Amino acid sequence: MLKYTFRRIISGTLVLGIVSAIVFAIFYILPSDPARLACGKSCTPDLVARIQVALELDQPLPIQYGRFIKGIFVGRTYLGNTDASRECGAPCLGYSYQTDLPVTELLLDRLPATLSIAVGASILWLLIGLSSGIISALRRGTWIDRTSQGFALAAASLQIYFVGLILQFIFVDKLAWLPMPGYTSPFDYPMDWAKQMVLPWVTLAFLLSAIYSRLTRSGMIETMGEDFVRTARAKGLSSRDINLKHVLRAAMTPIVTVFGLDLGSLLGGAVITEYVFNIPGLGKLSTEAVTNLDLPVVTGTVLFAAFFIITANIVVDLLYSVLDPKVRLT
Amino acid sequence: MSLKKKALAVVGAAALASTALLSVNAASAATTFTTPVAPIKGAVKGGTVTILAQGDFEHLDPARNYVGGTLDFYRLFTRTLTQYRTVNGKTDLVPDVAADLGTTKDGGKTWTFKLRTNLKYEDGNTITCADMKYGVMRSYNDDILDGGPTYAKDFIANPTNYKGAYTEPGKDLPSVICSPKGDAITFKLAIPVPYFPYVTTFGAFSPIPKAKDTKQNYELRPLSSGPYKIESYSRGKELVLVRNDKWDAKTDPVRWNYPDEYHVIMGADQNVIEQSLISDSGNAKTSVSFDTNIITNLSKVLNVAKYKDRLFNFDSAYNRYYAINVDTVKDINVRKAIQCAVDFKSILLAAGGTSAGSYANSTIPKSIKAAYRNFNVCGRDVSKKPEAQLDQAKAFLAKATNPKTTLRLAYRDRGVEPLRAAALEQSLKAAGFTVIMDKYPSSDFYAPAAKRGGANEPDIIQTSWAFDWAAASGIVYALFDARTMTPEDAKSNQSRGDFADLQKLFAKADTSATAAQEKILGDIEQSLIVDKAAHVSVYFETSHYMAGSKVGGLQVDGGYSTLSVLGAYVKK
Amino acid sequence: MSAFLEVKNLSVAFPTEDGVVQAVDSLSFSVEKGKTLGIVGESGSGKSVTSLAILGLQKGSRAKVSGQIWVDGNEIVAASESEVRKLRGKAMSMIFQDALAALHPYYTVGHQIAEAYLVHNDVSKKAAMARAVEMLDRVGIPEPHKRVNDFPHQFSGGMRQRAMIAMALSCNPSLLIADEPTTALDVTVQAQILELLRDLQKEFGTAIILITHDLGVVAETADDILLMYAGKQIEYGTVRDVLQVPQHPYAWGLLTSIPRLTGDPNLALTAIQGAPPSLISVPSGCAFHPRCTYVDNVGAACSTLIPELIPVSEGKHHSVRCHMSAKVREQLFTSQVAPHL
Repeated sequence: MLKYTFRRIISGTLVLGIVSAIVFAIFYILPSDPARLACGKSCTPDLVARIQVALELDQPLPIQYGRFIKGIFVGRTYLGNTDASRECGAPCLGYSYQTDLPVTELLLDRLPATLSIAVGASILWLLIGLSSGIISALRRGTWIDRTSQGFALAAASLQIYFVGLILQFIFVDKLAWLPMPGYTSPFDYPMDWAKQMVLPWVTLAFLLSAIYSRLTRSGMIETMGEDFVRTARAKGLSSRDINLKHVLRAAMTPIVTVFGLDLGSLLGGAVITEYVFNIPGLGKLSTEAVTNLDLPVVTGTVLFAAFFIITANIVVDLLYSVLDPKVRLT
Repeated sequence: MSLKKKALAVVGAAALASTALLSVNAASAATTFTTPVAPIKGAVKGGTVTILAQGDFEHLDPARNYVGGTLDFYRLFTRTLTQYRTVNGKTDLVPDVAADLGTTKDGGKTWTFKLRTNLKYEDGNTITCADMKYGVMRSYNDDILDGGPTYAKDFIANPTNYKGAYTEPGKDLPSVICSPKGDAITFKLAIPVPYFPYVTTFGAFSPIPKAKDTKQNYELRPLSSGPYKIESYSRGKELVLVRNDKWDAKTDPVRWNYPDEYHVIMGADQNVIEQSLISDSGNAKTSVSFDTNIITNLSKVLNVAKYKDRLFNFDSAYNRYYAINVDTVKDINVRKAIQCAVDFKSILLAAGGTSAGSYANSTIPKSIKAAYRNFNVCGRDVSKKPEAQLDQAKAFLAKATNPKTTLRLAYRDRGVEPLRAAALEQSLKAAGFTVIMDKYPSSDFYAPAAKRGGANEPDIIQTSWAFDWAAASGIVYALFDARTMTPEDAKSNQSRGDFADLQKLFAKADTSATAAQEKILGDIEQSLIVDKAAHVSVYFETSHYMAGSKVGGLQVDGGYSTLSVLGAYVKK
Repeated sequence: MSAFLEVKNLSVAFPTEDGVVQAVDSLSFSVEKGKTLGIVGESGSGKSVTSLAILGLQKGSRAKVSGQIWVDGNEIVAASESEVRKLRGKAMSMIFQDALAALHPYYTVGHQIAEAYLVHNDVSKKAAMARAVEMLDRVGIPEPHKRVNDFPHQFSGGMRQRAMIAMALSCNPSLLIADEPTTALDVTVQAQILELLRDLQKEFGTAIILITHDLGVVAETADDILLMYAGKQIEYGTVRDVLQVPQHPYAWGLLTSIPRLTGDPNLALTAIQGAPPSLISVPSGCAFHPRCTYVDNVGAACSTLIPELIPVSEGKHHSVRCHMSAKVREQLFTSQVAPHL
């Protein structure tokens, strides 16, 4: 398993390398002038030329890419455009054209907000999705099942921005039960943090718990038809033990996989949720960066997102081997 | 808030700015203002006030600072020769590093300011007259210290063609003279500038010791002369101000010092800041923003009781007006018809309605009390009857001996400006005019609109003005003085007015003391609008700023028309 | 009710969209302690449905079960789920056909055996695991204390079947239903498993129902035989009677289709013509008539009348469902079937 993990990490790193190369190439091909973008308002041709050198944009693409990769692992030194040269420690993803801040720092600044959304929402949607899915499966065909699955179908087809804005209108603007969503540090102001996060959590969970409810229900129902469930009954186990230990245990495995991937991609930035609620997370950072053609930040967010997705994949596979003893990692 | 705009073409000063409202009283030279500012009722010391900013300060170097919110904020660690102070809604021009508001014996061509001699920098060194002079001299190097207003360089006489402290390090600027004792500073100007004590509120007139000047890097760590000093400044991220124990409250007529620290947190975007201030969660309780006008969420907070105490609505320095070209619209009755046809209501509606602005009969704001006149436009109080007076317009048009019914309206293609122009077009048509809509690109508007002569010269120009200092001298000289024009270029006198009676008043104003001068300038504007019908002020834009519930002591600063953080305190 | 297991008029029907499927129809049989009943039939003949009905496993499903099932004096059909649950695993247990599917893939073999033991015995988990090791040892798993922690997929097919048996026997059940316990296994293992069942039966006096399609297995193991076709029992009697003088043409078909080491190697094997009927559209009359070679001996009755279950001769525990008279059957058997056996 150690060997397998190691191999997966190596291949994951390679994928990240390929992703970065593609992003790099796309931006190089794009008809934009990074030096001009980095130059700001009071820009002169002379300054553009200096920035060109400072950002090493005068170098051939492979050399730029090589230095970019080197920066990630061992850091790099940039020539200043006006000041002395500056040291960008590993993992260095360059400097934002827009704000001139280290991209790594920007990403880490935005991570807590995204993390808050992702973790909170995932707990909520797992709770709601799994429990309603389980109840639906156990009460298959009853009004509870029909109601909850009908609701799930409707919820799954609604869009985050729609649900988000409606909820905000009701609970913030009209009833004023909740403050405007946003991000506050949970360490300094845990209550405020939670109150502001409620709507993003609920909105995301609204959609995803619907999907998970359907997944759980169908997984449970499928498993209920399995021979080993009949065996469990034949042993004289109570239906509670059968449903929780035998049915759910087997039905959970594919859900864990989906969950890992969902969480992974969410950690890369809950783009729409962050956009709708104006939460300064990675998703918002990436949309801002794209609008401003802030290429180092775009590259950084793409790599960061890819990192989370790849990591989630590896974790899911490792977890799968724990959950399903039949799976051998080689 | 930074908006580049032409100002004072007399001396060719490029300017812009931001400024103020509420009543600005030009203090007479006799008033001393040496006493410290009175405490704010209920304010307590301690805590941290957080300022949420969308981005970094453009420049904290005093000579380069030209942005409203920053002009207010940098006073926490920068003293200038003169300064505005706002207490209980009343704004005064007061001596800051100076000990008086300046004296002139030759009608404004030479100004002498007494200096306070007991002021210290954060490093314990005494602030000297030489430092004040050096501050002016370095500002001449606006190639390196770019971004700021250039009034010092523009107004101060420069017989030796001095090029700045960096370009010519060994040379002197002979027009700025320190008294032998170092307790007074004299400026010899190129032309009479009666309102010079307003000009000295800008950062070029702040003390900077030559030994501590780090040129373009000075803005990273300006040496403090105010109640706070910079503890750390991470560009684009955070600025932390802590108390400067070398500052003496007894010497300062402008500043308070309630919080232990000010933190400026930079980088969140417009919406994030709006929402966090509205939410009043966590840090936002003790936060305020000076670069985030509530826009997106305005409808959610305006006139909502729970936000009332934390939402500050006030007129900005921006006046939107129409200049009627007297060169092309020669008949006074046609001009009066145009004036009556302006529908204030539909124009403001096009800009967002009464939450976006407040009707104004005058481009001089009410807050400049010495100059403001409450006159009627087209025979009615525009704030009470903003609708177009079409019957009167038609009547005036019928009386015209030299009728002109086809009008060329020039406007800029930016924001809601085309919508406002369309609103005017409608009411002009209703009054019986034919309108040619001349849309100019946003980047190239002021110069072509000011070009005199030619087939396409506009008859009505839709434009705006924000004064650089809170006095009628910052408005009327720029907008209505015929001496600013050339035969080809109207400069910022877009209505091209050159009336003998008014020019006589200008000449009289030139040599009058500040208070009298302000009064004359107010007369000039009233005459230009009421008698000459060459100008129609429509509204002042309204600013909407928000603060957290735990921040007290905030007030609208009359000097810079912004929400001032000088008196902020953290409520217990 | 003297017999340990007594099934009377058991019927199981499943309502489907295409109509009611009568999976089991008026089945009656009994098994004594220490005895083995072999239920034989093709797929879909109702063998497995019968066994599930005995365990009461159709409770809570859409199946309609009628008749009576008495296990050690407890009636199953009318009893509640919780009453039956207490009997399952303890009074009666079952060995399922496909052990790989019937064992939970994510739990160790030991865990699954111990779980069965824990339900019915008030012991610690440790004691239950010890019981699992003991049971694995008893069914002949080498190194049981190690293998107890293996997952089902780590066992070979035969070992899995033994593990199933260990699980089924962990609570010393009085009735054991073995559904095709050896089908998937090779002959050697098959013999070992059957041997094991016999040994255990001897030791515990268990009543066994052996469900299979393989007459050979039944011949070696069972005391009685119940032959099923399309949900009905068509022949029932002792192994000796049924195999020596089979009465039903279907039984004849089955017997002649088995290769025998002792028989004449030149004789051709004869398969039963046609395919087993679909339970959705069971042929009218005698369900076997479309495949029966001897319909001509009876006539229209075969396709119109359902034959009664009639004792072969007075007082004998051997009954058959066939329209042909005992005499005709005897003639046919001696002239046409016996030579092929």
